Amino acid sequence: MKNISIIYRLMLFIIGAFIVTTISVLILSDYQLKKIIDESNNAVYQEKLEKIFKTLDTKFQRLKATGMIETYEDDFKHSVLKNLRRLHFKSDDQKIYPFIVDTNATIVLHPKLPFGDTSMADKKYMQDIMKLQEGNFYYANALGEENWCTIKYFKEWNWIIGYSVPLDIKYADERVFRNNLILIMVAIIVIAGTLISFLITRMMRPIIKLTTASAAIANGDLNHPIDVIDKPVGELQVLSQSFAFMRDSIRDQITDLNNMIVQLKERDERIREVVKELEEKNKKLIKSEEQLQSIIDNSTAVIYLKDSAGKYILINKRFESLFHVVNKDIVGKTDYDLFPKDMADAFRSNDQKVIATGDPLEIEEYAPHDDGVHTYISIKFPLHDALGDIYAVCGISTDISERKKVEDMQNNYNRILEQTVQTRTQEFMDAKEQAEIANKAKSQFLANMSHELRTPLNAILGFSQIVSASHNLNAKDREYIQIINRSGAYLLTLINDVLDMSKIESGQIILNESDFDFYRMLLDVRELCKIRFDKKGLYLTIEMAPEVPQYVRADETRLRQVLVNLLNNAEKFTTEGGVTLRVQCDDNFHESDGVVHIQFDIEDTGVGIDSNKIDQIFEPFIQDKAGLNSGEGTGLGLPISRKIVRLMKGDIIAESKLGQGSRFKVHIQLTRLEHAEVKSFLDDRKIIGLQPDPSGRIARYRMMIVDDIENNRQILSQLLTPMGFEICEAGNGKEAIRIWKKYCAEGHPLDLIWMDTRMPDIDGNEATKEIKRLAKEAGYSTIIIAVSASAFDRDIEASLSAGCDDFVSKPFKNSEIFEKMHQHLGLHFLYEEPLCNHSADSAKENDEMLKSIQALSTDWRNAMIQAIESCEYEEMCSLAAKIRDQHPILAERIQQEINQFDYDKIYNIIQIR
Amino acid sequence: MRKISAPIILILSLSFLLTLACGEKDKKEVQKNKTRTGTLEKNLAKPKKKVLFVNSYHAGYAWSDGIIKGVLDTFNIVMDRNGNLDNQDSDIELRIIYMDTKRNPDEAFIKAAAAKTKDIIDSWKPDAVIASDDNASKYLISPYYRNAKTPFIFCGVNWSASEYGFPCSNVTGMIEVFLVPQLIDTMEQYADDKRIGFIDADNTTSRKVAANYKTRFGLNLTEYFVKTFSEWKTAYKSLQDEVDMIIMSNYSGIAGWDEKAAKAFILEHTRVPTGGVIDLMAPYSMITYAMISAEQGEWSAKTTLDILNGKSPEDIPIVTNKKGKIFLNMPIAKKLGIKLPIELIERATFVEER
Repeated sequence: MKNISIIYRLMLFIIGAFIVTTISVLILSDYQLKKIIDESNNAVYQEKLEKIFKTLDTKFQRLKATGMIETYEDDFKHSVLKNLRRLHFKSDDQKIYPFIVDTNATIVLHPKLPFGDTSMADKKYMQDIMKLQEGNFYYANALGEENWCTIKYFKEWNWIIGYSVPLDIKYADERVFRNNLILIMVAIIVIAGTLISFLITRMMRPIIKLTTASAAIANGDLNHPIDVIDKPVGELQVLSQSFAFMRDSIRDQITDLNNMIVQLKERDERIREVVKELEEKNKKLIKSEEQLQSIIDNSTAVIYLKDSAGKYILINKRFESLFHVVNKDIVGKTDYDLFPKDMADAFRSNDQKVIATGDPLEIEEYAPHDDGVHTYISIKFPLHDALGDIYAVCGISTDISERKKVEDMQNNYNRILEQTVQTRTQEFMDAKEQAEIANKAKSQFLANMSHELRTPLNAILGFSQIVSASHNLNAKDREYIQIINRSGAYLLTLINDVLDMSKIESGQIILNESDFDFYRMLLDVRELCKIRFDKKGLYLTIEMAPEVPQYVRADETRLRQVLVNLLNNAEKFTTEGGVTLRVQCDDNFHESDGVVHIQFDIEDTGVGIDSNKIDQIFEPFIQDKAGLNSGEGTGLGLPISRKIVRLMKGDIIAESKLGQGSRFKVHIQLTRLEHAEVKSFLDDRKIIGLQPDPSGRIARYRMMIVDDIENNRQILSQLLTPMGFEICEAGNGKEAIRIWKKYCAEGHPLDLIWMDTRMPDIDGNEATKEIKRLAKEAGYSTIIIAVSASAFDRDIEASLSAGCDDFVSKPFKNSEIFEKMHQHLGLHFLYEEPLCNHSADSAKENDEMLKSIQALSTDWRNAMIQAIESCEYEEMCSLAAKIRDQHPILAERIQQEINQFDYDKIYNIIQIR
Repeated sequence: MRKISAPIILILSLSFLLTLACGEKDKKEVQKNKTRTGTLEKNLAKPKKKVLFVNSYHAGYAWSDGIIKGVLDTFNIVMDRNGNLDNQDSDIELRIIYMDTKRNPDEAFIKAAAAKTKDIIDSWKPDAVIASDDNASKYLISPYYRNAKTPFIFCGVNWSASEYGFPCSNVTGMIEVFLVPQLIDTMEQYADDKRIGFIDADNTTSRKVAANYKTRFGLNLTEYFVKTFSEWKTAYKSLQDEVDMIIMSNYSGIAGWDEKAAKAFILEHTRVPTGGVIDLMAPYSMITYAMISAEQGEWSAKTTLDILNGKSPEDIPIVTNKKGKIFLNMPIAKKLGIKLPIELIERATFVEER
């Protein structure tokens, strides 16, 4: 009853205070609100008034801008009043409105009153307006309604602008707000009163419950529920929490005691289990130790354990038996107690290494046995305690004395073997050196032989060529000279063959590839061989398939050499019929990257070769019976040809039967070209002088011939002097330099020097170096062409490296000399007779003619052959005339041959396919 | 407990009221944010249509700058001082190309500028192209894009577009015509009769303009083409006696034109109403009906939006400009003793206000 009265008193006090506060807030709010609304509305209507004022001002400024105020003033006033009416006067009974009166109290603008009305002039509010002119004031209209009014004076037109608002409207919002606020406050008081009553009742409930609980605990009921207040409500929360905590502490202590008793019992049980487990483990350990000891004892290796101070802890049976100690006595002893000092030192040192590094060590050690010192391979490794520290070194040593003995024996054998190999190698090196010296001597001999043979040959061929060009020879002499020339040329061929073979065998031969006209080369080969064939009355036919490329890249000289060899070989063994050379692309290979596979078939109607001996024909220096009977050749032609063809990535195969002729198949690879730079070449005909330049003058060229052999100088001098060149001679390099300097000093430097390479004192290459050096310093340019009987590639290279511009090998052809002068000095020559077409003065004409021959029809060919066979001169001329339009060059050539009555030549020409 | 209960309750009550009020305010704020986010989402989600504006002239040329302003306002795009475009509130991605042919009238230059613009169109692939003034139509649309897929909207093309082959399936636009009829109507109210005088510099353009006035509006003109300022003064004085009103065409090209002297001379010697059709002539004419370049831009941009929303250019007829800006020279009117209607005075710009 007492508690309840506290609650009511508390409630009354709170609600009372709340109501007082609420009403105070209400009154204060209403007052403030009214003030705000008043100010706000005043501002709104004053702003509207200001807007009208600004409109008037803008209009007036524009009127002023016209510069014609009187003219436009009424128009402007009417315009502005019209706009204000349209904007502000919506209905006749509107209560808020703007108005304008002039300073005479005449109406200018009013929603109800007309313009110019003066009926209001005596009204009090009109008088107030006139008096005030600017500001706010309240007035009551005719109906007694209170109004608020704001006014402003527009002096330009003497107008007073006003805005009138009824107070009912002005404060309508404030009234509505006040009523709403009262309603809200009443609602809040009711809600707050209910809420407070509920809260107070709720706050008192735990105190009552705590009282009940304390009585129950006092009676020993520790499990009586206590509602702990978890919301922060000050002392009541602390009280309930403390009370509950106190009760819980007592209860927890009793529970803890009971738990401790149970835990003690469980721990006792666990100790018993652990003791049992340890006994089991001990047994296993003892067994394991016994097994380990058994393994250690039965090992053939020596096993031991030493502590970090080197004292033995354990040894195995093998140790006991070998070093006559017992395991039980060994403990505490060191190696110094068991072994000689030097050995004990080594053992200790090794143990310490293991302890220091912590790594296992594998090492060879020596120990004394009854039969002497034995070699051991020992593996030593550290043993760690529970903390990871090394407490002992364990060693396992295996006796390797027997193996060691075997190894030593092996090493001895190896040493002896090495000595033997060294001795043999030295012997071999000596032999190799001797062989190299011999080979070098052979090469030197060949080079010398070549040089020595070529030198006289140069004289023979040179002079015979010069003499044969003379017009003063009788027929007999001319024949002798030609025999000398042919014999010399033959001898040169033999020397070249021997040299080629030598080069091939020593691997010195290399291919010098160049671009050339393949068709023309075949024609040259044919022309070259034809003389021999003609002499024996044999035919020589070249048939070429149309797909064979005209322009190719290969070693032209070597290919020409092979074909000439094979054709001459065929001619040698043929007495009747003739030889056919067929050229075609090999169908077994496809052309790729421009590489064409060409096959040559050289088929003769000769004596043939015995099938047993067919393999021998490519062996050097071997000639069959027929070859020997022919009395010609070295027997090197075919071997050289095969070697060259193989260098060209091809091969030669011979097929033959005795008495049925032979067939040589040559397969080579060539690179196809679209067109080739065709080398200019000089005519074989006799050159009689230099061609004058376009102005008709002939330049004077100065040349020097340097050679230690007078004959050789004479040959060149005889050849060049008649041409109009100024020639001087030198017998050695030193003299050559002196003469060159002399010419330079006179202001007429030499244009060209023909320089022999092998000379006593200063040789050709040395002289060339010196002259080139001096020429460079002096700013002169002298062409130097080496002329040498040494024909090896290394000789050519040596000359070119020395500074020579070119190289001519002795014996040379006259045409070679002219060709070089044409090449280096750009000289053109006059020939003994005018150029005729068969000499092929231009590559173009040759090509043209070859194409024409291939294009001839079979009927035409047959008709011409028939005409030749019947010697029908008129018919032949007629046939030549028929093709003149299409093939003018060929027709001209044939006509020339007809005129010369050389019908065989015509026959040969039209046989080319 | 008793002591603190009253203030607590008071605070609680006020908090309650404040919460109600703030709640209302927060609601408004949330609503506002939602609207803002909605616009952003809309902009992100919808890919913008690409529109290329090809200007025959250069930036800073008042006429075409006015056209661009009309386009930008219609597309709701903002251009900063450096010419950068901010299109975040627009559905259009706009790009502007200046052909610069006013300062470079050489034909080779114009053709090169057109070819360069063509490359840009072919690579950027706009959804529509707006081309302002004649050179863009003549050198770009006509040779390269007639009946192409891309729609083209031309504007500022003088008098007629038929010489460029327009209209065609993908091209429509607004032709630029001077507001001559409107000018004549106004001047006639204050003239004694209907004789019209025309005065301009002596060059091909001026003669073409006069010829256009005669053929297109059926005007019978008394023409004066002058080379120098003194010639102009003589002609102007003569015209006062010969005609009832004068079209002041253009003073560009008249050698020795002196603005101050011209104004004084006009004030002294004008006896008949004078009028111009370009704002350049407003200081020298009583009344000027000048075209509004922004009208061309606004019409082009609105038409572009129609086309982008699916309307075919073929269905949109070629139109001419309608709006004009009126300039009044009140001292001249005062000199002539003309009282202009208040409606005109209120709508017009006085020359001194320019």
